[in-house]
Amino acid sequence: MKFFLRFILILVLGFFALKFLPFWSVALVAFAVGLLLSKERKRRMFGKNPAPPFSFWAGFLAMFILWGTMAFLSDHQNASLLSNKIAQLLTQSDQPVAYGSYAMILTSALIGALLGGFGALSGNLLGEALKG
Amino acid sequence: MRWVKFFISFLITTALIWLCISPISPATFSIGRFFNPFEGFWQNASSTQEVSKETVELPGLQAPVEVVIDERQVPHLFAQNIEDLSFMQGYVTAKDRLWQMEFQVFAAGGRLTELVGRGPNDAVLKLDRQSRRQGMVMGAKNAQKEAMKNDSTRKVLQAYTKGVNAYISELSYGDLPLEYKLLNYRPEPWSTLKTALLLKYMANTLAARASDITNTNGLSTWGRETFNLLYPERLYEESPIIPEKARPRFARRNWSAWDFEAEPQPPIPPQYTPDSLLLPTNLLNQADRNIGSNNWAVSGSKSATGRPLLASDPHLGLNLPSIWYEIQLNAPEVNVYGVSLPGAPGVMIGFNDSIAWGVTNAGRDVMDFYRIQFRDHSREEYLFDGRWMKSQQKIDTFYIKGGEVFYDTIIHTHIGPVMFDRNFGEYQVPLAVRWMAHDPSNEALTFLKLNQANNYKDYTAALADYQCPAQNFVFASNSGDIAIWQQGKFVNKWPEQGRFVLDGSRPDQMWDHYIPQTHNPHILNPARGFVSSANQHPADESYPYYYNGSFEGYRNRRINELLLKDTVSVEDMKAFQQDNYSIMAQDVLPLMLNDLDSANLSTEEQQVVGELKRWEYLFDADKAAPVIFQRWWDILYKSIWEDEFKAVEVPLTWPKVTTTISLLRDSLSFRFFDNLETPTVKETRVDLINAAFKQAMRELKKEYGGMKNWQWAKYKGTQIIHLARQKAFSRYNIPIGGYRYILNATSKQHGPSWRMVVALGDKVEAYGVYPGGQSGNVGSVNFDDFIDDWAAGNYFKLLFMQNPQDAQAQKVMSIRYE
Repeated sequence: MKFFLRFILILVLGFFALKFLPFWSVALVAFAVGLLLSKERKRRMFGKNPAPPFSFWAGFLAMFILWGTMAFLSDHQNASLLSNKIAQLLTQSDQPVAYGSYAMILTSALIGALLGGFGALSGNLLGEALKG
Repeated sequence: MRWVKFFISFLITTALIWLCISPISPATFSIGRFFNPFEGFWQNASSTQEVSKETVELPGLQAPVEVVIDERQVPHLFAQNIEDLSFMQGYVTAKDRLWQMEFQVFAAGGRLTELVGRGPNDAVLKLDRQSRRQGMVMGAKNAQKEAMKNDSTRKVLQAYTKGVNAYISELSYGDLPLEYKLLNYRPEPWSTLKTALLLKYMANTLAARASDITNTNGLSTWGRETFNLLYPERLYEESPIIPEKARPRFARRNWSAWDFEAEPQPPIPPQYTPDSLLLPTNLLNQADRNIGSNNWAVSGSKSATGRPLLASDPHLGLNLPSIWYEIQLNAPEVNVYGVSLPGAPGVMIGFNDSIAWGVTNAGRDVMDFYRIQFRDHSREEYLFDGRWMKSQQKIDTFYIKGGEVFYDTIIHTHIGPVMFDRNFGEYQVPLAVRWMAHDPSNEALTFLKLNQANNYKDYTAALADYQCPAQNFVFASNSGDIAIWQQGKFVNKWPEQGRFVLDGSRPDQMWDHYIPQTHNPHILNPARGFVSSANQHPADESYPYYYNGSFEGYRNRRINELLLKDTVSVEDMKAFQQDNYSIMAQDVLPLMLNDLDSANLSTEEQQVVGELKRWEYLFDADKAAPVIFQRWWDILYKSIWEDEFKAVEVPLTWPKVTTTISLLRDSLSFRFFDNLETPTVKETRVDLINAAFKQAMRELKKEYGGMKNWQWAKYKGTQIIHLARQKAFSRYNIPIGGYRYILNATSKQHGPSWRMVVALGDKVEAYGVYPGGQSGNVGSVNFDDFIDDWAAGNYFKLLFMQNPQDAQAQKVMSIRYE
């Protein structure tokens, strides 16, 4: 439940933030959610045993799904024309790259995921550090 | 402890963000931005168009404009006045081709280093410096000023600029064309100067070939007699644009084939050849001398339809996005369809309801170099006509991507900018350049008038002030006229003026007199029923003015032969454009086969010879014979010239193919046949031909295996390269035949950049294709969708609409801008 809350918040808020802000807003949003939902604040608010900090994975998964899905949708309506060319471009290869489009979708998803994961983790750890 | 954990994580996060933000190198993108699906390259992954109809608000228009975009993504613009039409042309062209427009203009203006850095070995910086020293920007400024003086062109150019800028102002980062994201920069506002620069970019491609430097070196190296043998000005067989006129049997004493009284030739200055001058470097990046084009028109009497037919296929370097952009422009004053140049308004090659026209390059020399004598090391004064003139020193700034700045001091004289000097090209003797493209002129007006022309009179009026780059304008009208006119501004030269570097201190070597425009070679409705041009000599030696340049010797003969056909149909016109027959092979192969020592050939070689003997000189995509012929010829050609030429340390041009063939035919033991690297043997033509054949066989066997593996199109490997030279965005190994000296002039990187056939009549019908696509977006299906059809020889029927609701329109999108 705690995990799911973080996850959904980061995904939804991230989606709206990215419409207006540059890519690093991913980390920002994840950071904010991580901070606000950190163990200490939860303890103060709900008085229960704090949940294990799945912050990193919540942020990671949220952004992986957000960026991955957006990339996939773009790729699909384009019949993978562009992603294959980008894959070839980035590897500077002479021939089109096998599974190039999947690689591009995966790369986008991973970059977003890493930013989201570490952002969420940082926010959570800040929350922890502030408690004392 | 918790704080430590936090700081570590925070540090990692920050590091990641920094890594994703910073560009990988100054000229490339930042990872985070690039892969972000909301903003990065995914935004350029466009979907295939849906049929739709919508209204869009576009401030800047005086009245609504209807834009119909057909299934090939060709925009058809219907405006209510010329200004809105030009505005809209700027807007839609920018929508499809913004990056290309800007990139070409940066190249013309010597600003490529801003986008891509210095380049390997400073190659890009050198090219930029050359562009500025050649006077590209100076010429563009002069042209722009001139265009602003004329009401029509001023309005059109300003409106076009506003249209482009209206599009640019709509772009957020996510909307930017992919190349901006990749190279990490943003578009600049467009300007009328940039349109002028774009036109100079074309002038540079077509009219900046200059052999002055290599001719001077050649003369100094070989001496006059040999020089004349290596570089004759006329060809062994010509078929000029204006057909020779036979002298009538009872002609007047002063009969001339020409219907005008020529201006007197300027006096030949004494001692005009520079005495044993050797120049260290040549111009960089000279346009391939095989860049040429075909065009022709057939009169109603010869045409299967009873009305004139016109064909035009310009040959240029093949790139993506294509140099051309199809468009239809309609307003009360005009209804024209054809190809436009992204960055300039109007249609450059095309047709309207009454006429059709096309262009080929004239190939005449309009760029000369002058030795400048400075008074001293300061270069503040130079000698002219016995007096010291003041020079102007201007410092040009080059911004190199990454922050560096480079300064180049360029000296200007009244002749032109000093292009080569001790700072550029390692020249001890500085050379100033005089180029026709420097002079104020208004080329845009010519095309504006052609777009609206209705008849021959309008056509001649449109051409009257056209200066540079000189072109052969072919013309056909509904009413039955066909014509051709070699139009440009040309110097009235004394013989050989411009072949060699000239003396900038002597007034008798300047450009003082010009050939009157009406004396340019032209013809209307000739008896033979057709007009044509393929970059050959404009006229025979009876033409009363001297000119020099680089001229074709084969494609012209072929088309003039084909057009002798009694009746020519539209299908014939298309077939002629794709004709793969090589008159060059026809001229030289029999001689080569004759000299072959058949006793000394292996069985395999005999088989190949058999194939060559059966071959009908067709460079078809799937044939083996062209492969062995071409390799054999290339080795032979090289073996004649390489030994002598590479021994010389200054730049020289090897003699033309026509000259080489002529020398092969005329002599067995021409001194250049001897291979200098075998001092004990004196080779003859026969030796070279046999050796070349053997070598060709060895090489081909090694590279491809036996003859059954030889395929002309695969061997040739025609490719179309993206302007930013990215393999992933380019196309390779296009299955198409043809080659140099052939009507289907498709070589490895050059070829017919547009093929158009127009059938005039009560209702004009036209067919066209170019090797590319309307969209400049690499991620679009319309980026290169025409290439396969172009290679296969297919033409699209061009959709020439009369109004936005035209029933034949297979509409994809209809947008009303107001």
